[in-house]
Amino acid sequence: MTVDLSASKRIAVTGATGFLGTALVERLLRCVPNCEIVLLVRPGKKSSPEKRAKREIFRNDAFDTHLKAVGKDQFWEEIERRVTVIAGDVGTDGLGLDESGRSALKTCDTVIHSAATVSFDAALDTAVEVNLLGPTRIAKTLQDLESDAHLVAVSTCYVAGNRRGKADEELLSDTPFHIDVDWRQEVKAARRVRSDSDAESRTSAKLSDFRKEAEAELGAAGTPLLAAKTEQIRQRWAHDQLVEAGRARAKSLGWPDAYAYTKALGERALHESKGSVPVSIVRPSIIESAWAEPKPGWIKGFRMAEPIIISYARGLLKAFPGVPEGIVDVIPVDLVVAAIINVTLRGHDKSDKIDITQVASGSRNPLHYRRLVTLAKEWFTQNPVYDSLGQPIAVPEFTFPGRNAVEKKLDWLQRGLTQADKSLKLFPLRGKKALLNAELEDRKNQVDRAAGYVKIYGSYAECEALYGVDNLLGLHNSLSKANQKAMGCDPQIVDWDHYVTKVHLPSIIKHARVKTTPTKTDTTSREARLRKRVLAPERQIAAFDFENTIVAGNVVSNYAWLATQNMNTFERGRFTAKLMAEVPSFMSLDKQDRTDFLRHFYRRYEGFSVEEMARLAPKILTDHILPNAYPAALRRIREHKRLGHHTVLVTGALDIVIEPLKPLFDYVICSQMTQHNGRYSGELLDIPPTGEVRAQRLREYAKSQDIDLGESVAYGDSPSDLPLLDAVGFPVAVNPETRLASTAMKRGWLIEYWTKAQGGNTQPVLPLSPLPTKTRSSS
Amino acid sequence: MTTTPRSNPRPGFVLEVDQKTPPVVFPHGSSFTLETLPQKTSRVLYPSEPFAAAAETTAMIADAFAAPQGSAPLSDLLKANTKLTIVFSDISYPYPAMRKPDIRQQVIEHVLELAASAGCDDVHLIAATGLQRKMTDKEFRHVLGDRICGSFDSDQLYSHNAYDRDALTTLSAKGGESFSLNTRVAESDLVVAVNVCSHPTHSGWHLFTNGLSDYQASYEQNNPTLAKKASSVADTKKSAAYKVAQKQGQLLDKYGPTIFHIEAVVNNNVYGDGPLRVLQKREWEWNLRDKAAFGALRKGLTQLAGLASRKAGNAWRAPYETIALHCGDVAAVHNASVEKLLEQNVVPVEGQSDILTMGLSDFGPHSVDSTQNPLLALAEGLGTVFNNYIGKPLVRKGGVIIMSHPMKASFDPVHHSPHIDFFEEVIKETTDAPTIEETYADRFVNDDWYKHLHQTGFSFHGGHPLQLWYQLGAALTHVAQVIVVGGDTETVRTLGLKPASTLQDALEMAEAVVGKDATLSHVASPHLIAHVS
Repeated sequence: MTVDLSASKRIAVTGATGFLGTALVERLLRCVPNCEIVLLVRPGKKSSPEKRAKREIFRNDAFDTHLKAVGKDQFWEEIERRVTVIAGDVGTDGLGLDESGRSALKTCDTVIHSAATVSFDAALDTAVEVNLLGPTRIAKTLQDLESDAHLVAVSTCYVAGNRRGKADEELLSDTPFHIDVDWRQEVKAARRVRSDSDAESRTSAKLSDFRKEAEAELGAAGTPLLAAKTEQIRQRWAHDQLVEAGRARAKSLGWPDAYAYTKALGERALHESKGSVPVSIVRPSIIESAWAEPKPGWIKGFRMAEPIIISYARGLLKAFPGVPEGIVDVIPVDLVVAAIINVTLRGHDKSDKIDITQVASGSRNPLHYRRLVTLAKEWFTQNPVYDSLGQPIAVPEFTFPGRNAVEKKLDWLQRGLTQADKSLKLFPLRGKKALLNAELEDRKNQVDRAAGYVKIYGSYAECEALYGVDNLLGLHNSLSKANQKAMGCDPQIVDWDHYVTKVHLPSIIKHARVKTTPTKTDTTSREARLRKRVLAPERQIAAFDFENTIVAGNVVSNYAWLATQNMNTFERGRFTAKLMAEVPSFMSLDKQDRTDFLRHFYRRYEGFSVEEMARLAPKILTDHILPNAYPAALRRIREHKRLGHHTVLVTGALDIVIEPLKPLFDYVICSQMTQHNGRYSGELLDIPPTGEVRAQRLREYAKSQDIDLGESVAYGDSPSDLPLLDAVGFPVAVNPETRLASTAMKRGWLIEYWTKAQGGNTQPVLPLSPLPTKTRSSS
Repeated sequence: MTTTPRSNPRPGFVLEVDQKTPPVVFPHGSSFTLETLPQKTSRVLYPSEPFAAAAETTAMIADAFAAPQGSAPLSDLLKANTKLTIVFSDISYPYPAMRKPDIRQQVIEHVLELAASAGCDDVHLIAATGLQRKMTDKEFRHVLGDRICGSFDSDQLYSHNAYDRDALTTLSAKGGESFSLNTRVAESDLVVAVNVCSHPTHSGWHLFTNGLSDYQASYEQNNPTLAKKASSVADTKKSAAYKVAQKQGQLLDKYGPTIFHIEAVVNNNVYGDGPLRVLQKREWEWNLRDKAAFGALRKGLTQLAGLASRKAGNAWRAPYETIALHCGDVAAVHNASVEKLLEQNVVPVEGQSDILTMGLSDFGPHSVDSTQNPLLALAEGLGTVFNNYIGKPLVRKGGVIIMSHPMKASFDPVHHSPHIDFFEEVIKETTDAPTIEETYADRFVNDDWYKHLHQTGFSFHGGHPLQLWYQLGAALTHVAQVIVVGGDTETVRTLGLKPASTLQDALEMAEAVVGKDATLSHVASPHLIAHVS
């Protein structure tokens, strides 16, 4: 059997949106000119398979070379002519094909199955559905269709498991290391784990934990947001259980992780259920960026080694488990693609035997761990990554400790940061100080990730198997000289020094978008850009929270100011002492439910004279609001007004307090008290606008004005403003509290730091009103 | 040697700096510094010592009312049915504020007694606040005393409102000129104006043209076009602004109500004979006690935190004395006051210098009970001190002004709302007065929010910062460079000026503009008027 690159074959490909799949489709399109391709693509949540294929495959920069060579029109014409996209999903029985999909598949000579859950921390059941059952489902479907197509299934060298010494190109069951587990039982067990962990996540104890966690993260953000967060945490927890279950099961059977374990069982399942379908298996080792095709360094998505390398370049990872003389079995993607195409074009001898081709470098052209580290260190010293201040990060001296030592160290760091994070959250930090916390959280996430890599990938370092590549070399040698040049797959071709320093590292650094120039991160231009969007004329509403967004202070300080209006020094002392004593209970009530807090607190206004409060309005402005206001906030409101936006005030504060600010707003949403005989009752007229009620009231207003909230802006300072901020298209965090600061950073919102005017004449600890002076008319 | 020989005060004096000259006091915000000026090329202008009070106040008032100038006596003008309005200059002047009892209180009490004996009961008292903020209850009590404040409700005793078109009446001349005047004032049968002044600019029609009108009236006197012309504030023959004000006054005289004008001239006795008298003494005459007092004062002020030292400054009330009191026709009274003011404040000096230095304190007309924000400080230096000359400016064309002030970007949130926004929104964009006029003037002058704050609170008029900025025009066109010593670098740069950390640095920087061995004049007091020949 020979490999004929001009063969006119019809080839189905699964997993084409993935890293390997995209490279494969590109190579087939460009180098096997007479083949036709049928792509089995899973429909996206919002987009059709055709759209996904166009966006995720053909618009990828892998096709740049070809596009340039043939021109845009011919490129798309060629795709139209040679490529058929059908909807399908290897995760469901029958591949989820409709009739046209089935007939398209039936016409194929070859099916290349490259779809897999390659994520090394995939949930066990997902990995089982895709990796274990996927190949079998394809074989079954081909049998159903009475097709005699050749199935080329992509697996991994690591099916051999954690072992030392030679691992040849043979079925696992043919080796002495074979552990006889029933894959059907494994499938059942995996599905059971899914329902078990789901059930456990719904127990009341767990749900209350999740709720607490959500509250810690969001604070008093209102029931709907807390509920959404709680559910998100529950799902994440259940998923984590599945990941852990997969890792544990894989380890117990001697595989490094769930990926290798499910792939291995997938091979066995395929072996058992393939029937008459001719099957070839291609097992690559760790696939990395391209050596030469479609262009040197080409990569898609973040692969296994990249996060580790980036963590190292950032100075986060000083050590990674492994022995210096160990081999890092990396293989450039184009060699894997070439091997698959060669196996495809060569075909199968139609025997019952599964032929296996391993695509690995370790036995033929090894890259030693120490060499890799040395090359990386040299390269990063010459081409450092820069921190946000524009300083180069010096890469650490790499050590080669055991896995436990590394894990322990990271664990220690992780715990320290978690504690610091928790402690900081206890303080009512605001503004720039709150950012400290957000940065700490960022740092903690980075360390969490580094620790995750060690946990996940560390086991691969213990895998010292040498993968035999006799079949691969046989295949390469069978090629004509010309085809060896066009589609060669001998790992010997790779010059590791060149590959690491000239191809791979530059490529992933570019890919990871880390800072490679010593300029300080220009946050001002980013801020200016965001600010410009917020202040674009087409915005429609600008909604403002009041307390700590426009004015530093809270309902307690408003009350203290109003209540002390007519008190003498002695009464003030008593009042202050009493109020201070109550502060802890206010805080805890406010934390639980802001609405309850406001209702409870506003009872204090019972008996206040309506007329007296109205008379005080200008005084509130001069003595309380303006001295505590952020001038920039007032400017911003007026700027929105000038731009023709509707300015809206949304606050739980009482109407009597915000009265003097009314000229700034087109519409005010606030709390109001009922009145009786010219006195306030201390009871609220409506549900006070807190949490989700704010968003609700704003939506009602927007609807009444026929305004699009997606085109609107909202300003807030605390997590309780989240529903309001979430309701609009352009949220702005003002002097954010710790938790809001991290949310705002994560979501890329504009953050404003506004301060009080520095020349104020009074800055009391408690905002009591100034001692009453005799009014002119009263004496 | 006695500190202030009041009976025979020494006149203003120009000291040539030589090796015996000790360091000179520079006010610097709410504190002071001592600076050594270059020998031989420098001179210091000292004001005259405070003139003695003309007489015991009650007697002085009685004398003045007995002999009104160019007018019938007030008692003859007051009838039972007279609609009487007493207007008085607000808390801005003199600055720092006057010790109690304020001369205005004493004069107005006398006027009210005359009104009462005439049986006149339709009386309003209006503070001529112009574009300034309303006066607070406390300030009314300070200026007018408890007796007057206790006798009038807020609808009879109040501040002028420059925004309220309904409360302004337009007086139009045949030639097309017009002038808006407070309606109550315009419709009164008799207006008694009570003014206290320490500077020629604030004498005469100023109380009406700048205190009881609208933005337009101030704008006509002070705008980017006019600012480029000679704008001495002391030279009544040359000042362009003064000429406009005079024209407005003539219009008022012709078409406005009957005015009986009373003007008290106070001396320059800011620190008195008490613990701060050292600040009024010439440095080479300091004795050991003075030196110790100055050291203690400086230490005390530097140790107080910002707010506290500001409060200490704001609390100072000056023991001014009234050195002249005239009443009657506005023009006649004005002329008599100006004569006295010049006698007290003019310091004759020969020729211009290359460099003008000045130390700026936080006392200012618009920082009463608040803070001397950078716009105010700058207006004080370049608007007031620079323009305080007769003949020609103390610094030559193309020279350098060096002023010492902390220039902190610190604004009073209640009083200075428009100033904060002007600094943040306008000055950070442009410092060019014509551009500002074209782009921002309308917005600031007609802003509803500033109007709301001015009317319901204690904020300055939205056009006030513009007026401050326009005042700088003459100085900025005249000199080549303005350097601020010891100012907040960022703020100074924002204002379009050069920052220097010490006077020596500033002099080095100035050398690059005016050359080596440049001559230097230092003015020891913002009140003195340099008569440059």
